[in-house]
Amino acid sequence: MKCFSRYLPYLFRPPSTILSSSCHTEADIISTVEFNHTGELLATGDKGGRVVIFQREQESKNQPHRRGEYNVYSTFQSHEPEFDYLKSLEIEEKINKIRWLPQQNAAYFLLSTNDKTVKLWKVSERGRRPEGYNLKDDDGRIRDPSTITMLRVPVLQPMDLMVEATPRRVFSNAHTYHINSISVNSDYETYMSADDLRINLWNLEITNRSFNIVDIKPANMEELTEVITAAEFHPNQCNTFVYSSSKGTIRLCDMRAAALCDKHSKFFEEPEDPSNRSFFSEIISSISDVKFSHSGRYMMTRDYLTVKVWDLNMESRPLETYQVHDYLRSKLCSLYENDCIFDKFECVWNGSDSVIMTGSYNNFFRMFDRNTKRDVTLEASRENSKPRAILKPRKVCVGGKRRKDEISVDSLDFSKKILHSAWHPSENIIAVAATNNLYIFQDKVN
Amino acid sequence: MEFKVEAHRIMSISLGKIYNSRVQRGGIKLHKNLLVSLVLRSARQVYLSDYYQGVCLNAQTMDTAQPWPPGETMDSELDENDSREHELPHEVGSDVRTSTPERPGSPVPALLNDAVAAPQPVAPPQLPSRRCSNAAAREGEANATRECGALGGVESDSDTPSNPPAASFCRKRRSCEKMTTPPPESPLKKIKQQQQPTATTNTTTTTTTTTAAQELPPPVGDGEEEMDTSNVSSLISIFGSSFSGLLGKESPASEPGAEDSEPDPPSGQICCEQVLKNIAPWSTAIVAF
Repeated sequence: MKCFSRYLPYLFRPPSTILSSSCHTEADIISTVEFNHTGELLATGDKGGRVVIFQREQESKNQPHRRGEYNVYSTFQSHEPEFDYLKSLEIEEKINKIRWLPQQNAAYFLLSTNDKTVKLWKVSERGRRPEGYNLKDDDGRIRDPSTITMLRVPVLQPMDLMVEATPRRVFSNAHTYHINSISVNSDYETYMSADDLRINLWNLEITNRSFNIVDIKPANMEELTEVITAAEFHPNQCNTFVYSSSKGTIRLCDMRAAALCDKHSKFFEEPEDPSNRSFFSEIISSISDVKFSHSGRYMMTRDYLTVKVWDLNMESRPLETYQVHDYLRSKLCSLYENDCIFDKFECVWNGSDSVIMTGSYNNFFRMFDRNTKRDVTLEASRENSKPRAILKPRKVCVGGKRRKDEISVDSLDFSKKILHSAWHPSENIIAVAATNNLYIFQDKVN
Repeated sequence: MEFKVEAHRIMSISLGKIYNSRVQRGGIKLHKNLLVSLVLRSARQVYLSDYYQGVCLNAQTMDTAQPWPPGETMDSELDENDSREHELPHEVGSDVRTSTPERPGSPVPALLNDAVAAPQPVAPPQLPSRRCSNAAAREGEANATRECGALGGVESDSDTPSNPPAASFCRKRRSCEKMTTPPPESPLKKIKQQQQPTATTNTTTTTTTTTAAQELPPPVGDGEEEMDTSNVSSLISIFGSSFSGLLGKESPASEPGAEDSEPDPPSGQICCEQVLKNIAPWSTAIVAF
């Protein structure tokens, strides 16, 4: 199990508010974190509709210890609050998901979505500008034609690097319900957006049309029993995708089979353990996230108390089940009262699919090594870690005597939750979002 | 029996959540509301099963109870206030003096609480609290929701403390509510400020549901319940009474008639059944979607 050290805490807010991190505004709460395909860029979205992109510094010989720091690269307002006049509903600007497109030229492209609208953003650098116009001078003022005595050809001169983000496509008016997932297809031409009851397939170039590929809305809404909670395309097979439901099931669909993929190709469900039945069994079995492994052979699902790894070839039960915070099982009623039971935790694979990571409460996050079957609980907090210090594993004491470093279940802070995290595609660098703060941890090497 | 307390509490919390979801920014979240309604259904099932167990036990033990007056309707409350004696089933060992949310209109004569069948000492102290509701209703007291909770041991005056008859408590409540049509809004407002006044305007129209609502006086001064059960009245009144989707196989009989706000149900007992079985804040919210 590798040890993670805190390389540098990247706080989402400017330094003036570091001192009072507990008094953040609602808009600063990070709602999604995503590395791009090379790991060079890290994008975060927040509840205020903003996207902040970090870029990894190039390694330099002068400062070897600052290898691969992430600095703010670009900030832009992706979504604004809107109002649906027909239903008299406000549409939140919170960014639900960000997904990067693979890089095909010098610019970077990402999809960001709120509850109703998906936008394709182009993030490009501008490092040069033309200078030497004839009719206007470098400040932009119009030159008096009578003062012009000779022609000159404008040349591109270097300037301060400017990163600009422009919305290239806006995919709107396709979802009646709240969008919970977007996923870019491996064909790099299409992507899908999933809301509670429907999944639509889009072409990245076409904004005025989308195809509905899954529709689980019952004819009579009173017969509704489950909703779609997450969806993802297979990393290699462009015809395959999965979607998870609030009933704890996952359906794998093949788009070659039919235009409308209501009929699944594979159905993954683990039979419920009757001894664990309670009022809240259905809530805690609702899947909050589903992620394919990089290899495409496995997928991982997260429900309230566990993470499960499934083999795509075995539908009857998961391959592995990891308990994230089983000590909460006896506290489900209080968690229901304070709404914590509805928290949607995400889960991530590492680059080699050997370690999985997911978040918990009290700013804890957990990593499970699938090979060694060892797990560790770490904490994302400024108080506990200094720069380049190794994160100390934490332990939650379930009952009986509490040891010195342990924390008891009742002392857990349920307002500090880690719902979103990301793992660098190839290196052991993780980004963990703790409310309004972003922590980037790096594996201690050399 | 503690399941019943828990079930009741969870039901009221769930209804509160569904209500609050309406005023949340971003609109109603389908997923969360679906989960909450599933919990609500589970709690209701437990509650009902506990209740029916108690009823069966009581039916065997009590034979002095008056039979269920046939043909009673929701409208026949005013005259029946004085003559009827009501007993509310309540939880054993619970210090929550709120009456249980709804009583199904079962033909079983004695709707005794489970406590009567079990530990006897528990029963008598509870009776007066129920009586107080009668008293209040008779006086045309608006705060039907308040007195039961606050006046735990208040004695009623003229009600004979005989064994509770079959007459439904909910019918009693209906009468309260009928007599004091505008005031139901005030206790609700008083008790829970978040409730929007407009939400309670439906109380007069959805008598079925309001009845059930009125049956849940909040335990004033009782810190046990976090969510005021007076929520239930406004919630049920807001959302209507039909709830067939998640009930599905359970109560097909009551579904067809269980549309929004039936002012004149065929009989009091069916009305009670509907009230109990048709908590459906969910369906209207979905349909509105």
